[in-house]
Amino acid sequence: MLLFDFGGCVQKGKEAGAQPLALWLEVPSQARLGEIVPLKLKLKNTSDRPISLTLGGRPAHDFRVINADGVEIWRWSRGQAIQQILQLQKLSPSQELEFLAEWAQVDHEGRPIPPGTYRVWGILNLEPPQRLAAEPKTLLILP
Amino acid sequence: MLRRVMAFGVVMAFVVLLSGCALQPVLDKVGDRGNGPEVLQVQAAGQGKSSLDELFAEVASRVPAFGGMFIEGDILFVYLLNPGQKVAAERAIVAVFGRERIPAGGIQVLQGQYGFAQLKNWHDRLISLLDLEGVLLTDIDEGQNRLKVGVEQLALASAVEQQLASLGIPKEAVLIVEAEPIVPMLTLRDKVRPLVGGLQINFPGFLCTLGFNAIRSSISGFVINSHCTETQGGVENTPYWQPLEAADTFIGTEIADPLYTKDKCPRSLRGKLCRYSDSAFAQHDPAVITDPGLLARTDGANTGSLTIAGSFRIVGESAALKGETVNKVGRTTGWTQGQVTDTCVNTGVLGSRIVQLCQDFVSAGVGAGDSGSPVFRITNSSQTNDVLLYGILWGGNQAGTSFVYSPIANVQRTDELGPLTNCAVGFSC
Repeated sequence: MLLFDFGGCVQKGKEAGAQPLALWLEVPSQARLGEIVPLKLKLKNTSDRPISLTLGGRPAHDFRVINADGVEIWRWSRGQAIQQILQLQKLSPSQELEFLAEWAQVDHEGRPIPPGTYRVWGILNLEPPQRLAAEPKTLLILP
Repeated sequence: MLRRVMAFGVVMAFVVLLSGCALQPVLDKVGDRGNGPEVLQVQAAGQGKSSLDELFAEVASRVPAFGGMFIEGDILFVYLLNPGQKVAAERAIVAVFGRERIPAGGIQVLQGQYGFAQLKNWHDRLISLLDLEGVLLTDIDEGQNRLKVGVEQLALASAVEQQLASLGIPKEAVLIVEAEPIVPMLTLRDKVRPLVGGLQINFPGFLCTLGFNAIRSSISGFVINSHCTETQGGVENTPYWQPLEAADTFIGTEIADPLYTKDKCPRSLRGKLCRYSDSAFAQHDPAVITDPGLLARTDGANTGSLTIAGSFRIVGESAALKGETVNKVGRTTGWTQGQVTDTCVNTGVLGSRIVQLCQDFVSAGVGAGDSGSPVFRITNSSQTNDVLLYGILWGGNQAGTSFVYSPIANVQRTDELGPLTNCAVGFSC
């Protein structure tokens, strides 16, 4: 499923099959406490024609982790500088792009997080103010 | 009718639609011209629609004494060579424009000196006047029952009168007036020449912002971000276009971009690659016209506008102090302004091993595509819009509320681009 976020307002899109682009997260469903968690955001052209899009910033992607209370406890880009470049990207039919990061199971202050259930979000920035957000995934941190 | 309506507020617009052979005019008020009479203006919108000149000519063909008309208040004023033809004129106006075009106050006749057909005939000949340098417009002024010629300066009047004489047009029939030049509205993303800082540039696959024109080792060029080259650090002869790649938009080629190296990093930074600025230098294409020391100025700070309204002039360079108000102009978020929040910060770049040493942070708007924006402080000294160059923007936070730039002193270190001449003509920096 693809979610569209224009100017900060996230709008639920149609099912991926009906969209020319599909964006989804690949995150392990569970991890042991303290383990590095690989985060992968994938974008695919699901149409039968090339698609042009403009990726906003380098890196253009971001990840967020939300705890069971709905509070954002970690954001990959928090406090970081992003190069303010625009990339003109053409995606051929079926072509995929991958956007990667890792989460060391720490919060914004760098403190280890407790075991529990977390939600992971993946966001892809296009030319401002457009933005795409993948459906969030649940991640269980085991003791 | 005005040939170039942008210079004047157009008050009334007729959108005239042809329906078979019948004209179906629609009157639409679109603006106000101040104290002058309201002017009837046709907004020709494609095939099958007549201009107001043509409609007036149609009235004049029915009543040759007709000299034009205009609305003021709720009265339609009509110039007639023979005021006794009011009834015939009204009938012709209704036939051409429709009865609804006669306002509630009815028609009032003014003594005309020239018939519209005569004015139109002369006006058709006036077109050659536009070849004269400084002549901006020609018009049949239906509010004055005269022709009108707009010039940049009234000193051109004698030249215009000479031309009128050669065209056989009596000068008494022509009003020569001073007019504002008509300047197209350009944005930071349009093709703009002469080339100035703050404009959108394109290199293969990417968009950034041109920092500023400069001379480096006697070579004329412009400063951009190192990450706005094909490879950040090292020279790949990246080609640049403004605003986008096209046959006539090539502006230059990258010729300098120092490498990011471990040995530039402080000892405490292991596994990183460092530089003191995110800057590179491109040599101007010889064919491109540039304005050294000028930066595009949009029509307002922190408004989001990308419309160019003038320029900033670089008259010097300086370094920021925390708390100072500085500015940037970039192709995505335009002219933004805010306070310096941190100075000389070693700054990592998310998702890379790169660290930019001793960078300054500003609390002001930024967006992807603004990379390369010139950063400056407005001094308005000695002239309005004079500025001191502070550096070149390269990054910002994800929220777009804070940007980071490389100070100009860093850019000109010997291990970076070295000395540059950045100022406008007449200033030294």
